[in-house]
Amino acid sequence: MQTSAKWRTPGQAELQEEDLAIDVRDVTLSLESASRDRVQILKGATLAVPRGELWMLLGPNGCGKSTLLKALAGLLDHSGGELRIAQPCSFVFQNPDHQVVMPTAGADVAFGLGRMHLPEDEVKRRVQESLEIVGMGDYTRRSVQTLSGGQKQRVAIAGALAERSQVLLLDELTTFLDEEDQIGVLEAVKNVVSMQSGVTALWVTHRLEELPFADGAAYMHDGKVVMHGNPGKIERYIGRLQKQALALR
Amino acid sequence: MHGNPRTPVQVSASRSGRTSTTQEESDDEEKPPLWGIVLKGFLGTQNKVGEKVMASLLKTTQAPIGIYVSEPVTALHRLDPRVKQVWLFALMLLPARSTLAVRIGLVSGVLLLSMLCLPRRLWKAQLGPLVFLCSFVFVMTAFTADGVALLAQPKSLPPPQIGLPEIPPATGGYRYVLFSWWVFRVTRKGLLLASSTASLAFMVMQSANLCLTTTTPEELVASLRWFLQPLRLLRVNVAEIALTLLLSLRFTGLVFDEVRNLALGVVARGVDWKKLGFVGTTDMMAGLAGRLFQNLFAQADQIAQAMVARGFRGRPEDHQIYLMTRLRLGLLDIFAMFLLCFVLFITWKQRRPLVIRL
Repeated sequence: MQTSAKWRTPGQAELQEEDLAIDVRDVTLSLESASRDRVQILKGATLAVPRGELWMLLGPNGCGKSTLLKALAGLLDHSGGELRIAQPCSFVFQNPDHQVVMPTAGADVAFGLGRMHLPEDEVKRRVQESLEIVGMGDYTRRSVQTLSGGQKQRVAIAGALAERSQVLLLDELTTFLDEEDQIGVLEAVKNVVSMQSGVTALWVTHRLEELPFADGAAYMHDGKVVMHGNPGKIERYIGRLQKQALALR
Repeated sequence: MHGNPRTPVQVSASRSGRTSTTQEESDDEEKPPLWGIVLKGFLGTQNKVGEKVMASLLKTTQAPIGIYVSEPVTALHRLDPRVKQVWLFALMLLPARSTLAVRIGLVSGVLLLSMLCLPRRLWKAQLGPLVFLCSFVFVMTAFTADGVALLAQPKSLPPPQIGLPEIPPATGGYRYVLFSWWVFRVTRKGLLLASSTASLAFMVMQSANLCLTTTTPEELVASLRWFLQPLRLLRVNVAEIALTLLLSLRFTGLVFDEVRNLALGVVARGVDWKKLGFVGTTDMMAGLAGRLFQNLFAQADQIAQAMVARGFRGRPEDHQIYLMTRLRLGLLDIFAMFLLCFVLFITWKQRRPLVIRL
């Protein structure tokens, strides 16, 4: 990583490296397809997300949003470029059923703390605090089977918070949720970022109506980040793209 | 001349096993075998087996068996999980060596507890099919256990032929055969066997279900881990057993969900089961079973990935599992243990001797 690197996003002051929670530069990544061919998914993606902000990552299907997120979480290895992320970081999956590992909410939130070998009382305190931040303080003993999709997502976010994560990587959390759950999860994330000092969230989404909740946004196309800045700017950019697509029909 | 395919064809079977129909059939048309026609009658064009299977799957998964119910919080919820497991173990063993009266008492007790501790919607959905199954087992065992006549003859001659007097009728109205009509016969042996089988089936399923619905999986695992502690001296990996049990309890719910989703998907498509026929129905069911396993394996894979993303590195002894539960014996637990001792004493006093007695 170059130490002299500085970032400037439109409307923002120049950012030093230490101000960034996520710093991605010219990252390339290839995956093996079903026919065993190597397919390049990320073709030099570059992105910088400042600390303590909620950013959204948008783009058409197959542009590499989720792949970039998995590379940031360390679930996929990138082949080129540089990638830095504040630690500890947590990844929340698209399908809430895949994220929740334990049978009850409280035990699931505590699962990620297993590697830290903390005293039982400390674990209980962290679990209760985290569940309260996402608005589920009374759900410690609830079976995850009886929770809605949005509630499971919030349990997953609470799990990340209990680990004192500095970065939350959120992969299309609202895909399977109804409108009420969608708002609940968005508010929980917004609450986390504003209440917990220094916590950053990068949220992959398709839904433009979620943009007003964000502090910043980036738009990806064909494995690259083609635009980043404030949410209004990204919304206008997407609007222009949609008009062009309609005109071409 | 070919008959109208929509006209029902009456089928009868001759002694030789050949079939004949009331309609004329051309000579070149190959007659299907009897078993084929019978099977077709049951499962063929008129069948709705698929529809019934889907309906019963949806009904069963609506109230999943063995999922923890957090509310209302009852005395059973407050009991220490170790006490519940000891009770569970006792309830599974007692019916085998107790009298009919004790069995009826135990079954009634579990039935009453289920109705008191579970929400009405749940106990109605769970007890209905279970009571039906156990009643069926009871009736079938009572009538068939001792109802079939012996083919072999006794080797010894009847008492009058060897100069002994006839065995006098029992005093006190003792009768071995309790009921006899046509080919149906209920004997004392049949009744005892039926009560034993039905009560065992009921106790095994309902007491386990009651334990699972009033105890969190974490509490169950904490309790089991406590009981298994001595095995650590033999270098048994108790942490791994505990984690495996926890994951399997989590997976039970996922299986119910997956079955329900698949059944809903099929029902929503409005499949014409009549048109599909037997082969089509079987083919679809096999396809659904395959899809179910495929989905479950995919879910397992995703959960494994989530575990890795959350810091698990495949060694349960390096990754502490916080069960968020504290095992502590209270007054209620002591009372429950006394009650268990009382039940054991009654069962021992009333235990079934080797001589059959009601």
